[in-house]
Amino acid sequence: MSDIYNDDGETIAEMPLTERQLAILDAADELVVIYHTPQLLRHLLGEHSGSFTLHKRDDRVVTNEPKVVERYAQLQKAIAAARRVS
Amino acid sequence: MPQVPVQFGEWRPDIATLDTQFANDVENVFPGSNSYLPVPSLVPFADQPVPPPPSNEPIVGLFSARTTTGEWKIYAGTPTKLYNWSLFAGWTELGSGYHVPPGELWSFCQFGKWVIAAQIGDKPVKADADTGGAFTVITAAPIAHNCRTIGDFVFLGGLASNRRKIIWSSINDVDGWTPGLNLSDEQEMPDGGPVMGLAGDKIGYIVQDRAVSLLQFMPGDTTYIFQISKVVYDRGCVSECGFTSIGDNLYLICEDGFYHLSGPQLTPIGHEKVNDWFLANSDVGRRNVVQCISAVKPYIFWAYHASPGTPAKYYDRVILFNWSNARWSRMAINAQMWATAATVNLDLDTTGPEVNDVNLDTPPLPPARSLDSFAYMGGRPRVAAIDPNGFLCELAGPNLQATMETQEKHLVPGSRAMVGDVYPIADGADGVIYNGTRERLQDDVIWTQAYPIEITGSAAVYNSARLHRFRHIIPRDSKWTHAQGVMADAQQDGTVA
Repeated sequence: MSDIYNDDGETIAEMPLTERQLAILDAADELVVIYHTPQLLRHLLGEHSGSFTLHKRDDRVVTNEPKVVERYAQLQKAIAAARRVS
Repeated sequence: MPQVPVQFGEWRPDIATLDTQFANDVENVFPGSNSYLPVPSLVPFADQPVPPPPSNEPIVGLFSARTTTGEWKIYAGTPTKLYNWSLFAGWTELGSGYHVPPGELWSFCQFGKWVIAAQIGDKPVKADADTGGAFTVITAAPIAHNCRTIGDFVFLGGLASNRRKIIWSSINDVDGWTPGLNLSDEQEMPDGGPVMGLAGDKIGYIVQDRAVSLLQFMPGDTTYIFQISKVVYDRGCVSECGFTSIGDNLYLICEDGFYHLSGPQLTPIGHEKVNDWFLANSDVGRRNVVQCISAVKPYIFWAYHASPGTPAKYYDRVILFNWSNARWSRMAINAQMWATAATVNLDLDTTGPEVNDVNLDTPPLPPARSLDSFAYMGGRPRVAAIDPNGFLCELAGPNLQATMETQEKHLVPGSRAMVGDVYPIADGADGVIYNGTRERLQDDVIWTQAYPIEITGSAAVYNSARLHRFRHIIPRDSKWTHAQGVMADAQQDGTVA
């Protein structure tokens, strides 16, 4: 899991980044992340989806869209809780 | 004597063939539209077996992949190890410590430069085909029975946690397996039994034990990503590797025989043809490992075990379907695993700088390859197999012994027929003719001795009966191209021509 930072240097979420995604970030490119509620949990969590971009600043993975990333992080927490229940 | 043509005709062992145009039996021939064609034997292509001695593990996976530069690479798996074969280096171990359970096979797919291998004993693994690197575990992926590339996604089917589930990767990322992230997601089939595998591409197929669903990517839809719709409700594939897709067409073996699915349209391709014959002549206990491959030309092979007595290590039969003319045939060939494969080319110039040029002119170690070896035809797909001794072979050796048997016929309706010479309609073919006769349909068929084909081109049978059938056996190594039937000299018995 990699920590995601906002522009102020605060950790706002953590997410799994694959080898390919890290390579994109290392190449100083922007990485677009798309998220949605997994289909099998939609009846519990409703339909949520969105996207945000990440880039690397120094050694940190940073986003310019902290509010979207926070919504993503909340969804991940809800997914984890729903999986524990189901 | 009047001459009566008796065609071999289409092989349809499931129907009554009396006085029809259908063949009673064929073996080791390809089915053409109006003739049968010879089947070559397996000829070893690799110089060393896999797995290398002293190991004698069975081969339970065979796959070919292409590098980014277009070269072919061949991969094979035993229950515990994965190997890569190249013309120059032979078999190289690329991974070990796996646990493929008995009765299970490796499932391979390629995504970009990655070759992915899955089986239910361990997490899926991937290897870089370009660099030839070792297999490494895809840590984020779940354990699954099978894998398949569909569009920009890798699919895993028959998950260990729930065999009715499939999961697909993040878009264009073989390491992304978090449902809900970058279009990765999972789906559970509510019924239809275990997912046996996936096939197709633009139109994908989810093949279950008792159902088949269509899978279509919905570009721009980041909520549902794929539309899944069940199209076959009561049939599915009996084997995890018993189906293949060609274009958007799925060919599969179900509990009651062979089917073709094109989108939602299910067509029985073996009914009243070979289904009953196959069910009666294959080992029901090992139909779960029947292996299907899409061979070169319009042929689909299903490799199977003929009986419970067939050794566990290899298949001993193949039933094959020509999808261009909907005709069937069968072969008796022993092979551990089949695949369509190709390799890098070896040129004929022995003075150039290419590695292994020495292979061409330093017999006997290693011997020079025959000039029609596919070593010289790199990149050209050929039917390949691992033979029972572990050697990678191509289906390009001398022709196998071929057997073709006509339908049973009243050569002179209402009377006994005296058959004189029998002239096989087969170019270049040597061999022998047998004559099977009986007086009544209630009697057993009595076969004559083998009559050789003489210098006249005919076999002197001289046999009288009411019902006749003819079997032409062409010996191994004979060079021939087509066999259509026989021309029998026949007249009413007791009359003078």
